This record gives sequence, C-alpha cells and structure tokens, in this order.
Amino acid sequence: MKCCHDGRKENIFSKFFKRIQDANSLQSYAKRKLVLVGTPNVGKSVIFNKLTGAYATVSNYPGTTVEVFRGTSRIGGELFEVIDTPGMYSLMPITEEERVTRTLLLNESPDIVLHVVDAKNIERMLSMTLQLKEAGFPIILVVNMMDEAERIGREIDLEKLSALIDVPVVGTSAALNRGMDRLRKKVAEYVKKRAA
Amino acid sequence: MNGEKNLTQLKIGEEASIARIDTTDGKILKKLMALGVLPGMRVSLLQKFPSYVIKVGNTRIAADETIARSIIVIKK
Amino acid sequence: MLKSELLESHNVFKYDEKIEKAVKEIEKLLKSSYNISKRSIALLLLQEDEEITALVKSRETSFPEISDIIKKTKMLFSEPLYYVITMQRQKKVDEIVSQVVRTRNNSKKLISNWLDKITVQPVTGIPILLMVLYFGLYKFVGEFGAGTLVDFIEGSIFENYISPWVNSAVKTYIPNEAIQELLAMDYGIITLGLRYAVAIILPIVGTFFLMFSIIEDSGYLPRLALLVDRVFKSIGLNGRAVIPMTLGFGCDTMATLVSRTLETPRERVIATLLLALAIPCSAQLGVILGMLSGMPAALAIWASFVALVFIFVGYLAAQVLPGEKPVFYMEIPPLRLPRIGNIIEKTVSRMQWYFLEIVPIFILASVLIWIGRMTGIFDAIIRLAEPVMMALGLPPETAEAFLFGFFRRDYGAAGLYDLKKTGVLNGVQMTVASVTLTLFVPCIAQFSVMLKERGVKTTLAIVAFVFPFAFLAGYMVNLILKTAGVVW
Ligand SMILES: Nc1nc2c(ncn2[C@@H]2O[C@H](COP(=O)(O)OP(=O)(O)O)[C@@H](O)[C@H]2O)c(=O)[nH]1
Ligand SMILES: [Mg+2]
Repeated sequence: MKCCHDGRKENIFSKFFKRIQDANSLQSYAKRKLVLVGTPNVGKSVIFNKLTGAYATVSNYPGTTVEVFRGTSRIGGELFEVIDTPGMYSLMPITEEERVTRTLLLNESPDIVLHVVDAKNIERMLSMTLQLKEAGFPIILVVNMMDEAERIGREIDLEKLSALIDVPVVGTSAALNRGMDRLRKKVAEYVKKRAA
Repeated sequence: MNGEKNLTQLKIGEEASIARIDTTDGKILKKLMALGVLPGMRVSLLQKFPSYVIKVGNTRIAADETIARSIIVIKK
Repeated sequence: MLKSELLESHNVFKYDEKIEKAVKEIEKLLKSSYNISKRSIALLLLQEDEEITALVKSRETSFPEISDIIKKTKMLFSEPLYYVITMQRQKKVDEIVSQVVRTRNNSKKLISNWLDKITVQPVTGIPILLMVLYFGLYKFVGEFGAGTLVDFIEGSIFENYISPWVNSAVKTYIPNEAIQELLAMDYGIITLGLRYAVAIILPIVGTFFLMFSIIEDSGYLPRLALLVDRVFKSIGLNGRAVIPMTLGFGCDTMATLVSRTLETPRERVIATLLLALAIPCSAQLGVILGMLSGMPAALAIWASFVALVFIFVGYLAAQVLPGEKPVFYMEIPPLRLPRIGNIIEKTVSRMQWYFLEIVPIFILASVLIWIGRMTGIFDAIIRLAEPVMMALGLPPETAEAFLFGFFRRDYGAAGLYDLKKTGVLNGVQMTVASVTLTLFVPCIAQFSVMLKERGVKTTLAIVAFVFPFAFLAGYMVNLILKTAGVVW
C-alpha cells in the first residue's frame, strides 16, 4: 500500500491533506527523534497524544500494513518527531507488528527511546528494558499506570529501580495527565547530557 | 514426575507454579516466554470455557487447549 | 562521541560465563557496523533470530566461524539458547523487582473486576456480545449512520441542493452530452462518485469506525477473540481473526489489508476468502438493511443464510487447505473507559486512509462505468447476464445492479433498492437478490487489495470460487422459498 502524503495535492479532501501537510512540514523541521515502545496496552498512544497534541499522521510502515503514528512535540525548546509504534514484547520479534517495531528502531536511529511499561506488571516488562539497554539504545523507562498500581496496593521505589538498572526512570499516570511534565523534563535533560 | 500436571488438569481457581513449557514447537515457547509465562512463575486458572484464561502476576492471558496443555505446572 | 561508540553501552546485565564467552568471541568477529550494539547482535545470533542472522551472513566474511561458536554454545545447554538467555535475564529482573516493589495487603480491587469477569464467561459474555452488536452495529451504525445521517446528507442536502445545482450547471456550461454524463446526471463523478463518498460512505463508514475505535480502546476485542476462538477454529482461523472479520463489516478492503496481521499464510487466505464472500461491508449492509427492514422474515432468511455460508465455506476451506493449524493466545487487558483522544485519533486516521486510498478508486469506478455505458460494453454484459438472473427467478433488470455491484458493493445494493421502490421486485426476489449480491464478488477496491496482498493466483482462485458459488446459493434460496410455497 502506498503511503499517503505525496503528490496528490489538488485533492478535494483538502481538510485531511492540510492536517497531513502541516504535520509533515513540522516533522521535517524536527531535529530529534523520540520513539515510544512497549507491549500493547501500556499507554503508549495516550502518551503519544499528550506529547504531540493535535497534529499526527498515520502511515503504514514501508512495505507493511502496520500502522505507525508520527507527530511532533516541543520538549525543552527543541522540536522532536515523536513516533508511536505497535506493541512489542521483546527485542526478538514473532509477529509482524514486532518485526516492524524492531526495524523501525534499527532504521530510524532515535535520539531517545521511551520504554513504556505497566506499573502493575513491571516484572514481565523489565526484561525488554534490559534488552534495549544491551542494544545501546538511549532509553528512558516510563513506568505508567501508577494510579492503577497504587489501587492494587503496589509501591515502587523508582529511584532505586533507576539506580539498579542504570536507566533514567519516570513514573506516570498518562491518562490522568500525571507525571507528564516530569517526563518532558527528563527527556530534555537526557538529550542534553548525551549531546555533551 | 511427581505432582506434575498440565494446566488443563487444574481446577478453576487453583494456583500452581510453572515447571516447564512442554512443546516441540519453538514458536509457542517463544510466544509464551515473551508474554511472561516462564518457569518458576505462579499461575492460576480462571476459566476453561470457551477458552482457557490464566493469571500470571497481574496479567490475564487467554489461550487455547494446545497452549494450555503445553504449560506444565506443579502444585506447591 | 561517535554514534557507534554510544551504542556500546556500559553497565549492562551479564549472563553466565558460557554465554558471555560466546558473546565476546562473536563480538570480535563482527567487523561491519550495525545500528545496535555488537553485544546485542551476538545475543540475537545465539538465539537464532532469523533477520539478524541473515543480515550478519550477508555482511561478515567470518560468518562460518560465528556459526561454529553458536553451534558449540548450543551444545553446552540442554535447552534452546533462547530459553536459557531469557531465563537468566528474567532471574535478574525478579531480583530487581523484589528490591523495589512492595505490595500492601489492604489492596482494593480494581472497579472493573466485575465487568471483566462477566464479559469473558460464556453465560454472560455471549448476551453481552449480542448487545454490543445490536447497539453498536445495528442501532448506531445501521439506524443512526446509515439511516438518519444518510437521509439527512443524501436526502436533504444532496438531492435538494447540490445535485440539481450541479446538473443544471453542467447542462448550462458544458455542451457535450457525454461529458455532462461523466460529471453529473445519474452516474457522474460528482453526482454519483462524490455524492456516494460524502453522503453514504462518510456517515456509514464514519459511524462504524467510531464504534470500532470505542470497542477497541475499551479493551473489549481480546474478550471477543476468546469467546469466538472455538468457533473460529472450526473454520481454520483462531480467535484473533475476529478483529479483521469485525472490521470487514465496516470495510472489507481495509479488513483484507488487516488480515495480514494473522500469523500463518493459511489463515490469511481463509480470512481473505471469507471477507470476499460472506462479510457484507457497512455501505452494502446499510442499503440491504434499509431494503429488507420492512420484512423481518426476509431479513432473517438473508442473515441466517449468509451466516450459514460463512461457517460452511470456512469449514470446507479449513478441511481442504494445507498448512499448520492455528494456535490462540492473547493477553486480556482490563476493561477501561475509552479515552476520547485515542478514539478520535483512531477514527480520524482510519477515515483518512479510507478517503485517500479507497475514494479515488471509487471515482475511477465512476469513470469506468461511464466508459462502459458510452461504449455499449455494459449493455452487452447485461444482456449476457439476463438469462442467469431469470434462472434465479429474478427480473432481467437486476443484471444491471449486479454489474454495478462489482464496482462498489453498495452500488449494487442501491440498484436493488431502486428496483424495490419501483415495485419490480417482490419479497422472494428481493431476498434471493440480496443473498446473491452479498456473496457475489468483492468490490473493485477490495479486488485490487486482494491482488496486492494475496497474489494473482490466490485471488483468481477465490474469485473463480465466489462467482459461481454466489449464483448457486441464490438459486438454492429461490428453490427453497419456492418449494416452501413462500409468497410475499
Ligand atoms: N488508569 C490508567 N489508564 C491508562 C493509563 N495510561 C493509559 N491508560 C489506558 O490504557 C488503555 C491502553 O492505552 P493505549 O495508549 O491505547 O496503549 P498502547 O497499546 O500502549 O498504545 C487505554 O484505555 C488508556 O486509556 C494510566 O496511566 N492510567
Ligand atoms: Mg497504541
């Protein structure tokens, strides 16, 4: 399937195009790339929406029918291209979605990878954090759904976790808009530190 | 071995430890491991029909007969 | 710092000595540069990752030596290396988790627990499923989208304002009658192609995608999958296939694309066949429901016959087609209140896809219809098809509806609708025609996606089956209704 944003500029459905083109031109300005990964249903898309706001484009990843969302976000004074990926359980892909996500990680050289996990289930998900770190990706671990973890009586020492795995960690409840500012700050800090 | 059963032999509501994944199909093994169904984990059976539903940690997973049979557990 | 230096990160988790030794040796042999660390490449090689193995094989002259190391390491363990490596990493994770996670005992249950349970147990789950279908599909998409909204946009706005205005404008400014017909009148690009896009597709497909996104975002789809897995196994699919199948009620073309996410080629072929044959898309469904709504008995016969065909053909396909049997496993997320932002994003992106990919094909279809009519090719085809119609007990006029049905599923249904309005079709004929038209070939857009996704051979085989089968099924419905002495 062909991707949707080239050529046909004189189309009557200009509303859709306008949306796409605005986003596209912004994306080409963006200097940095941020990729969201994690298993399905951990809140990647909610975080993507909170970071990017209204302008998002969806296209099928080249040669596949798997949807990849792209948008832009200004974080710490810099423009980021933000990419939302389909679910991925480990760095070794089994399904088409996982294959696409890994290919995307390999090809797009992200400046930052947000590994989003569900606080209720971190024991199942940290394994991929270790794999992503092992692969050398610049990662931040986003422990999302803190609200639900709290409700089942679970407390997580995020600072200690960060120290143990040597990865920056942020706790969020994205759906409730909690922790999003802290996340932005961490991203900005991390990118600055890496550039130095 | 003593006390080993497969998941389909548990009663609904029963809890056990996963002993191993018994399968000749490497893909099934990979799928289950990626989902976090690993030896040593506690598992409980929530329902059998129309599909098996198990709980591992705070995650619920639906599986068919083939997969459920390949998960070998011991009661402790 | 160089990018490749950044990749070789430090403070990573260490596996046991045997694995680490193999990793070191492989790392040394990797001369090319990769987008991920050599350590990671080495580990993926040890776990026999197909893509990475192929990549390294194509890049490294020392690949045979690497293979040797992998083989030797494998022999050190009784389990597959994938298993060994995953278990070692998990052990580390468990150790970390035990240090950072604490669980208080006074934990409250998540509110959704109760709803969670009743949606997956058959006694309560199936009635809930039927309710979701009734309110979501029938009431919201069928009655509100295909009824109220279409009536308003098509009936009030287009018929009263836009179409007459376009027709008179075209008549005034364009002298050539053929061009007039290309742009306007009964089958023109604007008055048919665009009118259908905006007045029928937009409301029907839009309401469907909206409903689908709500269901998707609430976490209900995996529950649906586990409820239907057993039934789907009998037609050679697994529960996961419920997603493309349900999507097919919105747009079979999109569903055919999505069937790519099914794991085995066998499942993809069966899904494609069933989508082409027995799943009516929302546009077609809207018109058929509208047409048969006055006659509950006809509606019931149509629905049960199509459902029967779905099961029967799926069952046959599962028996005939070779290939591995599907397995089913799926994570069941808790039910959650859907988020407006998520829903809007999903709905809008699907609509966007629909308008950019499908509508142009439909505009092209208007042009093809115009050419067909101008050149007389259509008349010839229709004359050829008339005897077939008669054999089904249908008036010859229905041939035209069937021909248009290929260009757009709903053009065909709409053609029947017109015949009903003018009183040409009686109840039995309408039932027979609806069944045949539903089963009859996919629309032109779906056909092109089938070609692209499944290849020429499979697509032609599917069409070669569907085409005669649809007419045979219609013939049988007619025969059954006749022998039963049904007259409407
Ligand atoms: N309670 C709670 N729900 C959340 C949170 N983040 C996401 N969700 C919900 O979890 C579901 C899955 O989120 P989504 O972003 O689609 O997950 P994705 O599959 O990772 O993209 C949605 O229903 C969200 O509304 C959170 O922090 N707390
Ligand atoms: Mg998502």
